[in-house]
Amino acid sequence: MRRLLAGLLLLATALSLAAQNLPGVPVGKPAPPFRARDQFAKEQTLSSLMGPNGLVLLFFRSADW
Amino acid sequence: MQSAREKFRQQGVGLAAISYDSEAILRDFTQRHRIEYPLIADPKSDIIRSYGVLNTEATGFTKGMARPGYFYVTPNGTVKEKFFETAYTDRDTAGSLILKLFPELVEGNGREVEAPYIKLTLAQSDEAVIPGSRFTVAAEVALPPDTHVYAPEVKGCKPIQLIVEASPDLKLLPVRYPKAKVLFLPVINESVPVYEGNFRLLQDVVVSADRTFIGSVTQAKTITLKGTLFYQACDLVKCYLPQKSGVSWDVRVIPLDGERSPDAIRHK
Repeated sequence: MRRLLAGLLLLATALSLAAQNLPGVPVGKPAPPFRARDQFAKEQTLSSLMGPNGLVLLFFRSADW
Repeated sequence: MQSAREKFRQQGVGLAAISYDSEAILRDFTQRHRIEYPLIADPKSDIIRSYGVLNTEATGFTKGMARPGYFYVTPNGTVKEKFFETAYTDRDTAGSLILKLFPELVEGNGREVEAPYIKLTLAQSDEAVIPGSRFTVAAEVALPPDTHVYAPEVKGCKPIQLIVEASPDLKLLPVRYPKAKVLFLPVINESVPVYEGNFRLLQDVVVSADRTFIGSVTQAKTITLKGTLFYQACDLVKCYLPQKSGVSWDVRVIPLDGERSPDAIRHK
């Protein structure tokens, strides 16, 4: 784990120099629809996750390592 | 993260987190960390790709993973705000996200410190962080009626300025100042950029993800961020003497979770 992480960190440092622009769907554009299952085997979509005041979709690296 | 979920719920904002992990990995993680909000399994990275946040440089068992960040989607389905780190080791903490998205949520959580002519409250997005986390500390200023301080772009007057001391373990981003108001001052017959009423100066901080630092955090330790707030308060007829107030925030740095999913279900 440690060695792996250290390797990834070195890689990240190099990548951070290259990546200047914010990735992802631009602000003001529609969020792409999806249908996928969560950890409780429940099928979720944008509208099933949506709250009355909106939705925060977090993208994260991994729950595994 | 879990308590952040409660804050989101109170605001009527849904929260879901998406990764390239399988349902099995997410279930295992959920049990270990008692997560209640939905973690969406995107093992083929279809959603990650459609949102344009695939980390294309990732290889091996990390192939398919997302760049970390968030989108805030309005009820009608439009992306209203987004935040992505350029370096994917920087992890914005949920508390820091909330400070950005719903600044009103952190009000009342701060502690007041001594500062002449103004009311100064110090707040922070997170009490505890991990190496690589990005969090935010705030200096909240409340001015009495008809009182102002000068904004950083002022010429010839002493502006309000927050200077936090750098340290090798905490990287500081530029302080974020609010937009100034232009005030016409009849006494000097000039228009000047000022702040009035209540406003907040934000300092984003990235905890080192340096291998030596990670190695040094074998158990939780407290790091103190120290700084100084410089300002000069004025009312409509006069300015008071320039002031400086010491400010500080304590943050606990906790070790990274080195635990992985059971061998059978982990990414290969």
